[in-house]
Amino acid sequence: MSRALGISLPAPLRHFFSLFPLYTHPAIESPDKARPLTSPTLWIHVPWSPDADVLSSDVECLKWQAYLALRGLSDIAVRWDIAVDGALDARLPNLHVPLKTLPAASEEVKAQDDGEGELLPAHLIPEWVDGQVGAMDELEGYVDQATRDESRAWVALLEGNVHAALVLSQPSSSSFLSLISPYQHKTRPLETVLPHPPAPLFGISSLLPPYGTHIDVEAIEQQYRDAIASLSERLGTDKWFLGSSSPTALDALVFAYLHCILHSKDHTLRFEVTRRVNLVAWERRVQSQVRSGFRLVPVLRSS
Amino acid sequence: MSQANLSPLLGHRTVGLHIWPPHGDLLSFDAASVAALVYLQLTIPGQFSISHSANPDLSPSGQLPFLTHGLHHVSGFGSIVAYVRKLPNAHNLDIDLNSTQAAQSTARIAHVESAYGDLINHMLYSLQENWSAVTRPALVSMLPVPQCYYVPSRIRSSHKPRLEAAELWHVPEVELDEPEAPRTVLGRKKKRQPDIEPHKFKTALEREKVIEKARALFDVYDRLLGNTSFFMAAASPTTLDVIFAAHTHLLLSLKFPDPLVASVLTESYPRLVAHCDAVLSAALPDRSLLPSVVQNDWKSSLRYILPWPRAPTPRRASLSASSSPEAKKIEWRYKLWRWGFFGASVLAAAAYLHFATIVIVLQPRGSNRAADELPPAEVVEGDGDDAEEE
Repeated sequence: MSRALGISLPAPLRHFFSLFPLYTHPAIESPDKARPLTSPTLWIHVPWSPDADVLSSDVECLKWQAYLALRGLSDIAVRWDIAVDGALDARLPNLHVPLKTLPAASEEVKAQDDGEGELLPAHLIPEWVDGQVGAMDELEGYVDQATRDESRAWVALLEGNVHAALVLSQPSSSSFLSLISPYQHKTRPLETVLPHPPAPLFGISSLLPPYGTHIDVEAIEQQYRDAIASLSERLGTDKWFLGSSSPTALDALVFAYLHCILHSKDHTLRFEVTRRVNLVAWERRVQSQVRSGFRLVPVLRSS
Repeated sequence: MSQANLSPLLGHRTVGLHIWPPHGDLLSFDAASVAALVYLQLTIPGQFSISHSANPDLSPSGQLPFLTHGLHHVSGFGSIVAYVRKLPNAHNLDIDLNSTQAAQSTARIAHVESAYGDLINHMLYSLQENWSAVTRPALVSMLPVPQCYYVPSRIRSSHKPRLEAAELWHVPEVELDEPEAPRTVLGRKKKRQPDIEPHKFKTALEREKVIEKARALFDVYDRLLGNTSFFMAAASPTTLDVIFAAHTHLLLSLKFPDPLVASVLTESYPRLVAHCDAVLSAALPDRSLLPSVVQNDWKSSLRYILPWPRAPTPRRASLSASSSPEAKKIEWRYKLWRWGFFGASVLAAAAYLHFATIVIVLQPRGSNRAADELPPAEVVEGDGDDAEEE
């Protein structure tokens, strides 16, 4: 660079600078070395049975897993040893992809990939998938415009009523250890899922500052039952939801919720779905397809 | 249970709907309340009474609207619809829909309540000009004196989590100053600081996003409506029509200084505006057809300043005011027996305490005499006890 500027270092100064560094310490071997990335890896929450399953126990992560598998991708690695705070925006799932698979990367960026890869948050996953298997058409895989509009309504139903019932059924960890532990898995609080904000615990006009939420459990359960009944009615005997010929994003969402409900500890929640044979059969069929798209990353510990 | 065997007390129960009070042209200040009102008017016209209350704490779940019928209570639009549908003389709005359409209707109602509800809450509570010019004065006018100072801001912050998650909460953490009139310093006008450019750019971007969301929603329902007067080509309003029209009514009837979403609706979607008018005129051809309004007693609102255990049903005293003389006589008899029972039990307890307990009288040891000179302890017992004490 000095040549480009036309100014060069005077010789005594150059001799002086060449004495440094005086001593170079040897490289420190750390056991936590990141392995170079060879295939796309999805960071998810831990599955219910970590030894036997690759499907996550969290609805968000499972939704994206199903989306990836149903779009036709395969051989995606999964790992669940990353804490939630280490993810982008502190929300899992994240997709860790090698640079060469990024659709918008330029050639020299792809050439100098040293295994670090790029970490994508959840909302950038569809774009990445479009780069891999080709973009979906205008109708996003639905039969027609009216069905696409209807799919928005089903998404709202699932992410509202059904999600509220699921959140209610999860045991809230209120032990002392969970209060002082810095690593917490915070699910979406109930206030963001319900369309009308719930009242504070002591009433909105009490002199005490607003604390806690007074949740109308019966109303949520009633709406959940209606939602599952209408879901089952709409599915009927179709292969994919709303009569699509190939799986869509709505199918991924429905699968994620059904899978989580069927594995939840709450009997009333599970019973509503197990009563409906078509939903159970559909979920089982899609489950095998989703599971086949993923493989475990073996966790090696260097001695 | 046949109707003839019911006591006169139960036979006169009407359905009571408690909703937010009206404001100007609005039927009620909350979309779910308007929807519940219109729904009841379409299904059980003339068989219910309205009670305007701006105190959500009256409700068993803490939210308005809520419905009372005898000893039953339900809260929230979905539960009200489910309850009223089961009443024996209720007209079924969704009778013409086949099972697939009914399933779709459930999903669409959830979509309207969440997406359209978020947009309305954004207009009312998030946009600063609307909040200070429309929503806050309306809430303050509805609330009694102690509550009107702190409840409106509490209501506003209760909407924050949901709107933030939907990226519709654009309230700055620190209140920006209102633009002041140019001040005069030493006779000359002081120059006002110009607005910061990135701040204006950011708000413009946010507004664009809100308009996009509104357009996406209205496009969906415009296509669904088509050229018919009600959704899904029904001949009369269905539940989906009712909830959609309730939200549109709220958007159109208030005069917003910042009509972000309302202008999108009025400029580009005239069919949806016409739909709202059609539903409301089908339910209430004439405003005077609204059922009687029961006035609420504001003294009860003072009770809610302290956290009181919530009564799941309204107190019986308010209901007995409107019942027949025969019912009043039965009430009086019950009251007599109840107080007689309490009085008798108190008397019996006092008598037992007086006659049947052990009274120990202790004498002070005035001298060094032996213990046998002390009089024995007095024992007063009831029948059947054999114990002795010395």
